[in-house]
Amino acid sequence: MPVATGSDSLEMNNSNHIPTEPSLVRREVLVKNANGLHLLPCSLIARTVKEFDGTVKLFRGSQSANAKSIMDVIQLGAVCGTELVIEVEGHGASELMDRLEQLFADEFMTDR
Amino acid sequence: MLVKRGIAVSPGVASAPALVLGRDLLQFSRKSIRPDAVDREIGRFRQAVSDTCAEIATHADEASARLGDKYGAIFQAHMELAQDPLLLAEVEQLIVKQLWSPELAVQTVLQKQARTLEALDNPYLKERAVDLNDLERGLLRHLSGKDTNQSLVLTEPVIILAHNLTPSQTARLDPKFVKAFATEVGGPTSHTAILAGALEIPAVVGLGSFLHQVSGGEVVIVDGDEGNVIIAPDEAALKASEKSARSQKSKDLRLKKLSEKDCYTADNVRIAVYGNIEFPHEALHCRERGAEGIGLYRTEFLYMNREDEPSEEDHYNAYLEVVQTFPDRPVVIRTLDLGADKVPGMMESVFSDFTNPELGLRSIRVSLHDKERFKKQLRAILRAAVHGDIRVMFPLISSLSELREAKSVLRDVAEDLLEEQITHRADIPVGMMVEVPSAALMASEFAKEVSFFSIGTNDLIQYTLAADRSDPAVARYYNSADPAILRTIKMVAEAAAKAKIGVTICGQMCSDPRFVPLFLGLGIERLSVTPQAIPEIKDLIRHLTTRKAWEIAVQASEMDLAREIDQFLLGEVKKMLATGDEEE
Repeated sequence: MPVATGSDSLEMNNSNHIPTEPSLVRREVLVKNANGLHLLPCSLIARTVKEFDGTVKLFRGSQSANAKSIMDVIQLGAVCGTELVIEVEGHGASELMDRLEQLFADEFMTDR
Repeated sequence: MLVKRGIAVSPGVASAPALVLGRDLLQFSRKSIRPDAVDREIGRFRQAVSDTCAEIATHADEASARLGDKYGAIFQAHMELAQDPLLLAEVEQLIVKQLWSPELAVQTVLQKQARTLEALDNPYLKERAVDLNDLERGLLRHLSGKDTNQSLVLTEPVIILAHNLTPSQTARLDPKFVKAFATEVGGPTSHTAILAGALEIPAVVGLGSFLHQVSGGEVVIVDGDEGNVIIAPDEAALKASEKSARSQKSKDLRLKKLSEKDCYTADNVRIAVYGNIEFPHEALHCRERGAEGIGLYRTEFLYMNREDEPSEEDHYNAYLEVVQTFPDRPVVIRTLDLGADKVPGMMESVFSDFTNPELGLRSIRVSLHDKERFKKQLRAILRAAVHGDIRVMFPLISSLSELREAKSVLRDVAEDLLEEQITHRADIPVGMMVEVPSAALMASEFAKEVSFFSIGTNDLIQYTLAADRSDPAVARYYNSADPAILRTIKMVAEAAAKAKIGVTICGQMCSDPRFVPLFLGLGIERLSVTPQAIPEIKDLIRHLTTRKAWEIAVQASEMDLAREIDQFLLGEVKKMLATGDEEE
């Protein structure tokens, strides 16, 4: 799977004339929390995407993980400073993407 | 008697008979299933998953209610893990395709995943393998149909010894009967360690293999302050631990008596006794025990047991809590003393794995290496300083240029705050730890540039005598009573007196009553000790005259063997306390 290099969202919409929301959204995020994606952050990701009726993948380079699986995401070994690409596909993708991006930005609200 | 050294993760000392928890209590015999039983076995597995989730939810609620939401979150994460779709699919695949029993499939998949985590580079992730262990045990227990919940039913005090305790086992320990626990594996950032601290039971982890040397039932002492576990202790060790237990019992009475009064020697010389703290809430313990301020606030603990870097506000709020507990008393904040034995998970990248961390990048060197982190802390200190008598202290200073560099960062920070028009106090007293022999040798020069010294005996001893304080093999070389240590302290005290600056002693050494008369005799008028020791130390000072202290110091400095000095000081303090008891 190719990795998006742009810093902003790469929103793909296969039917340009219909003003529906895009079904596939891809965005780059940075792991900012000091201990990287370990159990607690991964569980927050899993909880966020659990009810989503579509697929959510995290890419680290060419390695990908199913965001619904804690074990899969942990094994990306994403330490602090790792750049990841999130890819959300399905109905309500943009809205979910915003929530995921917020989680990363808030550093998973760890230890508050 | 067998003494084991591990990692102290929860303070306190306790002794009680040992209860050894088996390494694996869960046995199952069936390894494969018949093809026509697949649906039933899948159903059984799913039922076990949902039962396990229900149980974890109870743990989450219990932990949140008993210990706080932060701890509940650990079990919330376990819950997500138990519902991990890939894990579940992998297990079901083995049941359907390989005709494995759910038990075997669960064990295989979860142990494989645990090994994967253990193989990761990041030590923080490695420790999460225990969380998978917890899940595996939960699933196997529910599959076995024996929904016993395996709560330990205890009727008398015990000390739990185990290869490992999972977070859920730890959270369910009843502090009424479980006096302490000790495990062979585990690290300081494991969830188990964090929960032990929250439960306030002494705990030591990472002891290495020792369970085969314990049969169960023998008395064990767990020293959660020092990280020691003593199995079948001899009379002397038992007495020492009983003494600390007894002094805990009688403390309420003594606390009341001592808490209001400042401390004077029998001949009316004021001696200030401060408390050492790691966490802001301990300031209250200090005040309740009669501390006259905080002589050493070890701020690096703000970095322990958490996953992200503390923000300026985190620092500020912590300092505010301490200074509000002691609004009109000195509060000495020591800047980060990270490194060597204290490396938080988030900062592992900073510390390369050199073989000699005690002589490497640690303490003030880390702060000067990464000035942004240092400035964040200093900003918070200057901001909190408007609320009381806050003083800042730099640890591990080894040269004048290093001290000047640290002071210049402090000035920069004050200028920044002024420019940003943020309320702060710029003129707080600046002090330094004297704990490197070079600083002791240059004490007269340093004394011209700081407002106070604080002698950190732990590091001073280890650097002066070249003996690692955490290495049992060289324990006999690490000797507090060594004449070289006495001379060094004397030199620093004299330099401080000449420059008319204050000098405090804040290492473990001054929580030990035998050294107190010696320090007073050397002219030291401020001691900073662990909160528990405050009443005892104050009591001792009240029975002491400065004349007597001076005589003891003179006699001790004429001796040339550590053993001789040690015995002499011990004898003197015993005499003193014996006469003291008669008076009361």
